[in-house]
Amino acid sequence: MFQIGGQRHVAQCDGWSRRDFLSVGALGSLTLPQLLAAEQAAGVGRNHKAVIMIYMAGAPPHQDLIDLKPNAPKEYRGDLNPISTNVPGIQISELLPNMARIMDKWTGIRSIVGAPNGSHDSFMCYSGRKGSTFNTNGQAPGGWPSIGAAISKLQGTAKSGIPPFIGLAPKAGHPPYGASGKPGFLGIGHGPFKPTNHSKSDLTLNDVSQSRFGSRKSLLENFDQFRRDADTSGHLAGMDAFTQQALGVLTSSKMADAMNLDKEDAKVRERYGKGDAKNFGDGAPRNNTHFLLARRLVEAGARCVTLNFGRWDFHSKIYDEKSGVNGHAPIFDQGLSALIEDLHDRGLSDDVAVIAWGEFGRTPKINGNAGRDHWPKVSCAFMAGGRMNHGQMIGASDKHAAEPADRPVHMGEVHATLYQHMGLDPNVTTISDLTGRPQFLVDGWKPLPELI
Amino acid sequence: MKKWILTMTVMAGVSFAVAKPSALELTAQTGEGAKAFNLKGKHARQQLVATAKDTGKDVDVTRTAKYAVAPANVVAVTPTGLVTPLGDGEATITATIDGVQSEVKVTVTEYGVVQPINFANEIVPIFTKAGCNGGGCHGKSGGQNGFRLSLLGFEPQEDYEYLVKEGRGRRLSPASPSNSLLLLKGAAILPHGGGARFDPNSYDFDLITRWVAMGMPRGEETDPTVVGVEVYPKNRLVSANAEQQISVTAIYSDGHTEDATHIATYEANDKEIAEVDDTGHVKFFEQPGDVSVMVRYQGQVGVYQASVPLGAPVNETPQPRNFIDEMVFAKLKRVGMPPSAVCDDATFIRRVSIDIAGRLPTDAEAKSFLDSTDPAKRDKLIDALLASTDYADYFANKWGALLRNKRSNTSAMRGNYAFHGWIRDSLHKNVSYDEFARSVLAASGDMGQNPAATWYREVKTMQTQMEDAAQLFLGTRMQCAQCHHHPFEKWSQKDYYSFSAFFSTVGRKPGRNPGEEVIYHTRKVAQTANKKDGGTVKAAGLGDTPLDLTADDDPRHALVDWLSQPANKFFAHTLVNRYWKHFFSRGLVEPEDDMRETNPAVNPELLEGLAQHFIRNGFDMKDLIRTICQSQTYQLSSIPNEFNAKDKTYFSRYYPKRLNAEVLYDAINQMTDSKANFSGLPVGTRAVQLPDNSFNSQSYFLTVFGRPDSSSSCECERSSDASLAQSLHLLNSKDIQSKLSSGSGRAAKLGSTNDKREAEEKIRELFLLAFSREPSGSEVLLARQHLEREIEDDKGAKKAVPQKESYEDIIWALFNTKEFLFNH
Repeated sequence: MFQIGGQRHVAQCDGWSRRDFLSVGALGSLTLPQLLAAEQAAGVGRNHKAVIMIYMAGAPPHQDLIDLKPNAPKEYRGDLNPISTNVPGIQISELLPNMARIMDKWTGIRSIVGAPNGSHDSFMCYSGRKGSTFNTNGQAPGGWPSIGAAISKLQGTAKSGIPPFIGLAPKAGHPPYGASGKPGFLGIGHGPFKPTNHSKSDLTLNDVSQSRFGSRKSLLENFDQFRRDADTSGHLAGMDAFTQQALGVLTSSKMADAMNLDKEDAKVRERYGKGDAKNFGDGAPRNNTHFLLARRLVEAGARCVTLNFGRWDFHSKIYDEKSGVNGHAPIFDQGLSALIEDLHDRGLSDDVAVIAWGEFGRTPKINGNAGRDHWPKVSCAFMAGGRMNHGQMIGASDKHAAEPADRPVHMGEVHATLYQHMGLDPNVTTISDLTGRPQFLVDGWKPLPELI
Repeated sequence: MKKWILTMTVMAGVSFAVAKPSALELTAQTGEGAKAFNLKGKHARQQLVATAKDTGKDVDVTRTAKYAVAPANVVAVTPTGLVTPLGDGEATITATIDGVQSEVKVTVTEYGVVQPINFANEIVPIFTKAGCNGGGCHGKSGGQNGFRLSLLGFEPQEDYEYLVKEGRGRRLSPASPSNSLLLLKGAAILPHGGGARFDPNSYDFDLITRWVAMGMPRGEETDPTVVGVEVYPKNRLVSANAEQQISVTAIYSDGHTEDATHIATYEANDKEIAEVDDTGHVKFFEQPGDVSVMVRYQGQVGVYQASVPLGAPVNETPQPRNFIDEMVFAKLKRVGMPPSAVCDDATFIRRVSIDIAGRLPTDAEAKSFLDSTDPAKRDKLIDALLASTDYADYFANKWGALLRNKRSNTSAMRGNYAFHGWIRDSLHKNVSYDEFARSVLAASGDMGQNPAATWYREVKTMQTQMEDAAQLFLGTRMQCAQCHHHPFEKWSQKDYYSFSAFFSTVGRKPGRNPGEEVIYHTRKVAQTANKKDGGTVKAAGLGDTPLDLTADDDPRHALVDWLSQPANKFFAHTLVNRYWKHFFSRGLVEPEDDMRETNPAVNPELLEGLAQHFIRNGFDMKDLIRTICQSQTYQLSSIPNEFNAKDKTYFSRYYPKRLNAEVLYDAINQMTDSKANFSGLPVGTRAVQLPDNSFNSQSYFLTVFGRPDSSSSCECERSSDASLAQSLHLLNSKDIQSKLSSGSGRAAKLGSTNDKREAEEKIRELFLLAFSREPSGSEVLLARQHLEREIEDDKGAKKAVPQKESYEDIIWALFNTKEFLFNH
């Protein structure tokens, strides 16, 4: 993987990086065009690393998905039965038959900890840190950036015309369910590009025909004669580069192609399934085309794609065939398994790491409304790809799936693993917050040795 | 790169090498020890610096001079100028180069007497120098692999405990000192994650060995401590590829001085210009420019600054208008970089209108300014803009974000409007800056009665009040010092907490309306606990003595009294630097709120000059802006000449900047003749007039172009990074397309048959609006061709394009040009 000098603010062992001593603002503004130019020159992007993060909005029931407790009393174990997988000794829920079939290609974590509380916030999933989507209280000045923003800042664009950080989550009734990960102190320039949301209508020509747009373009080229050498800050070159990319997007390009599922093999589309593009209540949609879009986008050059899925907040009727886990898990099973197999089929499984998880777990005991409530003590995660050791379950919960019994895995460790996969040492690389203080990418967490 | 090659050839003619120096100056320590110094004990050291002098030129010759010692058995001098003792006595060291000589005297005492070693003064600095106690290694909280040191050695008492007592004492072996785990690991004789940090044959390795052999003494309570460092030389003009030996003298609490050159740490801030090694030896490269070397020793800091001049002839500069020009042009002459020419009138009116009033000139304003022959028209324009409410709108927008006028919930609205109105009024009335600061920092009462008290709503705790106040009004980032000594500054935790104590008596109780508060002074003596040692500290200005305040004194007034003293080195300097950056895109100190000795101004005389001017004129903000805008420096063209294309720090030309989110939005509305419509505000309220951040969520445009959310007192919250989302929005959003195609918009009016003017007249109007200039002949031609072009309809017949559509296209193309998007 290609690294641009001056981009990774690797702290020297004495704790100073050049950036600390230097003017932060000037450097920050220089980086973008340098990156674009350098990356273009280096021909980066053919084998760039990427992360796809699937946020299971509302917090999925870990004990009904990958950590079933068949020997627990009925009010704990619930209605579902475990099934065997293609890895001897590992069983998961009967609702995930496809994931069971490809257990050798992914890893389950049964002992996720670190959820700050039982409030429905995607923040921790996207950033690996405690905090809130709504305000930056208690966060580093400017707010913690999400993993996509940090990758965008540190690694920049991999392929011209494809933003490094793309968020597919549509807005949701409960805003944190519809978030894609925040840019925090890295600034809006490193926020998620939202081709299905804010930027959606900007992606295709609005009320202007292709030929009229063409004549506008040529007018612009003729009028745009301002001397480029007047600016050394890089802002002008940066805008020029993105204007060119945007013009490309609007006059059919990689971005439009990547977003165009008609270009995909019908068999592949069938494998992913469609799911349901409508938001589920105030939650996320169960839109399986987003799994496919995510793959197409990382293939086209995105470094981090996030998406949201479902509304797993089953306080009542958890086993309802429509609104419960029984209605969610089979669609999820199809989408996630298709994504993992597709990445393998295309030879992308080493380059792309996939993670699916929610903000916390659910109560061990079924409540009076046949549901499970919020449970931040333990939850689960699905990880695949990224040239990791798969076909295993990491950690274990106790007999009621109530607390970690073995190897608690902090959400920050998962983030450390993802950064490591991206070629970023999470405990050495720093990014500066709004006060200029260098911040590590995670709070001292190490990558999971079981995976790497 | 082409430009550089050209300048290199120019440079080759300018050299600071002295062919035959008229004098040589050999120095040891700074101050009294310059010409005569003492070395006590056999391990003492002294770095010499030899400087060849010629008219106006000082050139380092430390490594080329020849050294002789008489008598010979007292000291030895290496070819690099390092003096070490050989035996007790007095001697004279003579340096010679090209026939000129200079000497220093040295006295060696107690050569045979084993000198005591003080842990804090002598051992801890080795860990700092070797990088052991950095934030990435053992210095981070919790240490590294079980071994912890205090960050950058600021807590030697703790380091002693960690080193000597922790780990069952296994880290040091008095029985076999050189086999101490510390040394074996540090020299990577045993596997060490951090690699080899020092050499087994080094002075430092030997010093630790001797210290362990002596039984690991802490040193005496009464041992002097380091209270300052002096760097020699302080600044130099040097030629490309030159070298410079720096010497560092430590000043102790008992007044004695010692050489610290080989134990201090060094860091160059621009490694493309120069590199510095562990011995304080600086090596310059080909690249011209300014470089600073930060020197640290025991929490004390010093700086060596050097300029590698470009060396082009600066025969002419514009006639200086005021002290700004004199100082900027003097610097340009010194570094050999000719400035660009003064910009034309069109560029000036657009530039200054955006920078002062946050808006484009109208086409009528531009036309009348261009037509005017009044020689004082630029000054008059500056005055008119400063007197206009647009100035107050624009700067209230800037200050509103810095003063955290954030809408955190709907109940905050009254305060937001009141605070914004108060800021705007204060700026319009030109309240002096010290009074402005006092109104905010010492605000008491209900935010309805006293809107400035709204500052305390978002800035809630004593710590954040102090940190925000320090960053905003003192340009000092104190956050580091909450938990440990500031790594690049002299501020300790004691300074942090005694400065915090100014806010220790801030009380709050519910106000008249829900969600509102009354701020008041709680009638206590201003003091707070120092978290470091649990002791109580009184309020004290940074680096100043503690104040004796009674319970009746609101300490916040004492704080502003301290800030606004003419001798204060932070307050005026920070504001002038902040405003300098507003107009020039780059602060004299960058970032603008990180002013410290180790982050020197690119033109220190100018910073001081501006600050003194500001203080003398009673902290008059409009006067400051007027002075800046009247300067020729501000009025220089942004177009580079053959020498200054790469200039980023000398202000030899104006540096273009992208219009910020609000100005750009308003400018597009002006171009398209449409009005912004923010909910809850009158139609036509401009984006620069928005009272708070809550409107960002209504406007994707403002968000994507980086309007800040008022959640930080740092200007850096405003994002100027480009992104694909931005470009797409500008080129193709429904929002902007609807402004273009609106039936009441400019394109509709220009395209209507009611407007009887010639096409050329209409095109001129658009260029005056967009760029405040007349179009060129070819631009008119292009636009006319576009207006007159024909397209084929479905049946292949030629037909004219509706004029409205063509004007939409032209307006679209104009506001997507860089000439429009940038202030230049």
